[in-house]
Amino acid sequence: MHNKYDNTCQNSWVDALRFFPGDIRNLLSKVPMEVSGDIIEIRARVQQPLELITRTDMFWLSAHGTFEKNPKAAYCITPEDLKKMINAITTGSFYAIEEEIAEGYLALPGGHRVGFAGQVLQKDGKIRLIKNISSINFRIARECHGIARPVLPFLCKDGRFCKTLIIAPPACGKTTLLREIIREISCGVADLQIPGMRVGVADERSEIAGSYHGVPQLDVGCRTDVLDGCPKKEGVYLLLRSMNPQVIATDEVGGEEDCKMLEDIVNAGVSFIATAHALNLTEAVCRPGLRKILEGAMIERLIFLSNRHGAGTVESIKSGVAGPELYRQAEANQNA
Amino acid sequence: MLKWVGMLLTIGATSGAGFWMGSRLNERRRLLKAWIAILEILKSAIGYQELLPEIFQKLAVTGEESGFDAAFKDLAEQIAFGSEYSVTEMWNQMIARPEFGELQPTDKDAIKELGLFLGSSDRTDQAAKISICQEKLKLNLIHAEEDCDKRIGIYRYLGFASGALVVLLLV
Repeated sequence: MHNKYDNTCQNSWVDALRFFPGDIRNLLSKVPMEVSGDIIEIRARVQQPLELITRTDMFWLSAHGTFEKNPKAAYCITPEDLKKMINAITTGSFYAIEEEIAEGYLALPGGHRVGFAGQVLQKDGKIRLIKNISSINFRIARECHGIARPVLPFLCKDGRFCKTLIIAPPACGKTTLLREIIREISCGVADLQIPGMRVGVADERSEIAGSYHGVPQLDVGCRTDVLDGCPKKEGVYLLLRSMNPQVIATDEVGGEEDCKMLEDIVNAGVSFIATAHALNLTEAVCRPGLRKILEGAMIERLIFLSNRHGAGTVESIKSGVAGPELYRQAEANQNA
Repeated sequence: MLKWVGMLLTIGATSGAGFWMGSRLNERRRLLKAWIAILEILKSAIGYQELLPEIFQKLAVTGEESGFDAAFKDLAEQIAFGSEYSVTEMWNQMIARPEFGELQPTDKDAIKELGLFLGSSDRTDQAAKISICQEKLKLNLIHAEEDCDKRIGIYRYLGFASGALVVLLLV
């Protein structure tokens, strides 16, 4: 069960290219098709080479569209290039996205996201605006239908969805797996006797559903209600009050208050699925907020991911913190 | 008979020229009024954080009566995602279109000046810049109305009178 993104992943590369101005678009369109489908991030920094990140590697892009390992041989982004890119991505409507830029990212149609870095303007100790943007990170949205199938049998018991926490370091496919699980349980999987469930998603940073103007751009299932851009805690309580969900999904828990929030979900008779940043269980319990969640004994399934065999590799699935391992990658490899 | 036809044609042509000159003044007044209204919509839509292409699409629909629909539709398409050009460049190109040909250079300068800042600052600043542009256009509108009151009649009278004079001289 490698859960590697395979050719079932929809290629969003072509869709992503339309957000770039002509010169850069022409350059990016020279990237061979067999590689372009693998690219997850395009990074442009002023006066620095254009960087492309794939699931397993990174490259600098030359002016001829070839991959270079030597940054000196790569195409260097000029201030004019970056200005044009920002203009093309924001449609010149800076006023409309200043709050999103202050949050550090911008959601685009198609579920793509752009992160910004530059000169920060503060007000009352909070970031008010990022101006004089010096680098952007274009994250290409991808839907990988089917990657949750191997884990789904472990997550449902007696037609009920188990309270699940996905733990992984950054860039290991937590959110992608979460989205796929949401989609599958929302639609229901007849083969696995999983009925369709009402799923409420508190999508604080538009990462799960990739919403644009409140409309999910990525498939999160037909019984899913998404609260986009809403603080996690407020979003969860609002969903509980108003949408009568059977499962609540949210991204990146681990704060001090998150344990109480998850307890309240359980007390309302609702199941949940969430993600958390940590390398493994040992690292997870070292983090006070996450430790509290894990010790709360609410978690019925723990999924550990890594990128050992590419992003989304399921290392193990545990039945609770102290429970037995239901699946282990190493053993699966041996059996195979 | 031919003489009468010639006389009528001459007077008709010069009167027509007089009316045309008058209509140009009227057209400028109409354009200025339309622009002031457009800027009000723009200010309101920017306040609601709508993106510029979306606002211009709406203006293209509402601007059918004033004949601005094509100009705003093109502008919306040109500044959509992935655009090669800045809003200022596209805005200036739009002002140069024949639809706005009757605007005086002072009117166009005020609108172009707004284009320098359009979209590039926060909402408060955008509203302030649009208000400044509106004020300038309102001032120009007052002058345009004064021109209309004073000069439309004169142009029409002069058109007819010059035709009549030519006819008298020729006869």
